Amino acid sequence: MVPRMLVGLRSRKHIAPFELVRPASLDAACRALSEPGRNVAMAGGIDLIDRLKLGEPVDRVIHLAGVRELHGIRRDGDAISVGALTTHAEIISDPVLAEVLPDWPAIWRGVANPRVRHAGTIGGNLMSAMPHYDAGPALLALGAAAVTADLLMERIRIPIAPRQRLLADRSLHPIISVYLGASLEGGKIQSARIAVGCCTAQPAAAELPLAGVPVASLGADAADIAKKAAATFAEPMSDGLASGAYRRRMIEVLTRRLLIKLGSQP
Amino acid sequence: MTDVAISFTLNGKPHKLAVAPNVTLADLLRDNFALTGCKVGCDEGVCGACTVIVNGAPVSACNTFAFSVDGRSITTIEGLAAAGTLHRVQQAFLDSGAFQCGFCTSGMILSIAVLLAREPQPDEATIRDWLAGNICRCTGYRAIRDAIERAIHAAPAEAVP
Repeated sequence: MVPRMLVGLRSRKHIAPFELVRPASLDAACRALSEPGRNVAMAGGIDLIDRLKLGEPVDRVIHLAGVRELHGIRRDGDAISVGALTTHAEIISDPVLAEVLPDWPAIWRGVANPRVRHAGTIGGNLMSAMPHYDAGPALLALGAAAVTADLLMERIRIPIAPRQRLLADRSLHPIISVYLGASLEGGKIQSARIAVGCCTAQPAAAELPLAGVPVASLGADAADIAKKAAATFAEPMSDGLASGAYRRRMIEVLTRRLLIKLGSQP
Repeated sequence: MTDVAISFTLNGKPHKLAVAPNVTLADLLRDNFALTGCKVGCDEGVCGACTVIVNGAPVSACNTFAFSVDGRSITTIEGLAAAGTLHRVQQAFLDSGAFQCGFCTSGMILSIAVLLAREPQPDEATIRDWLAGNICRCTGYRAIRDAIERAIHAAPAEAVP
């Protein structure tokens, strides 16, 4: 044992006592979350443990790891279904994603650090609702939708076009991150969407009116498209990192860069 | 608060005990096993000083509940050397003088040991990505980068427990 003196002097933060619940099914997890009292769901625990150290009062922690329905990535018709407990590392190494949406795992290799990618989950990233997290804007740009079971996010459903692209500019993160999702067919754009993180409490997306436009022509019109798209977003927040005006300008700049990049890879 | 019964392997030895749910892995390692090589720096899972290896993956011990290592195998810096012989990453850090105050060193060595077990010849971007998760405020990383180069060429790759 460490001498009592050392333990007494340590500066580590303490977590208040709570009851641990470990459900083995989605039903049991939903029931546990509906019990009276302050219940909180735990996926990877990265944000939850931080919040508990900061003193957030909780009666019960519902640890979801044993809920099989929340795991795994699989094809679901013309979509991909990603379980809420899928870790970032699993997204990076998944063979299905590598085949139909390789841009996503490629971008995800640069998100956070190896420890966070190993423990952190896609559901936890979304449900933590931190403005600077990346899952929200990335999935919005892809036109994804959440599949929920009662109080729980169960899976994410991502529609997959024959040629689905996802491009990101995270070079100014955590001031701003911009994601461009586009479905392509025969060298032309079917639909395209821009999504922005770090700028408002929740990530925001805007459809780009580009249906039928040849991908190769994007570079020439990128500045104009980006300017119009940036104007459609709500006023970004101002904080210690950057002003709202700077963020708005950067939505335009980074959108333009992403459009040029997409146009150069038809 | 009801204690949770857990069993795990720590540095090659099996253990069984009951922990309170609110105990972090860092608390368990330091307070119950006196494994103080697991340093608590930021206490938020960011700085990497508390890195330990759980089932072959790097984990922030300060940001992990002790109950979640049930059934798993943990290696701390104290368990990395095999039978008195330093792990090649430890030896490379020693040979390159890749530490000053030493607070980040155990986490740094464990992270790089996992990286080299997975990718024996990592490219520069991969090395930088892995180092970015472990913060050093003394060395400026030059000597650490040299140590990794030394470890890569130190051959034979051993398995991380």
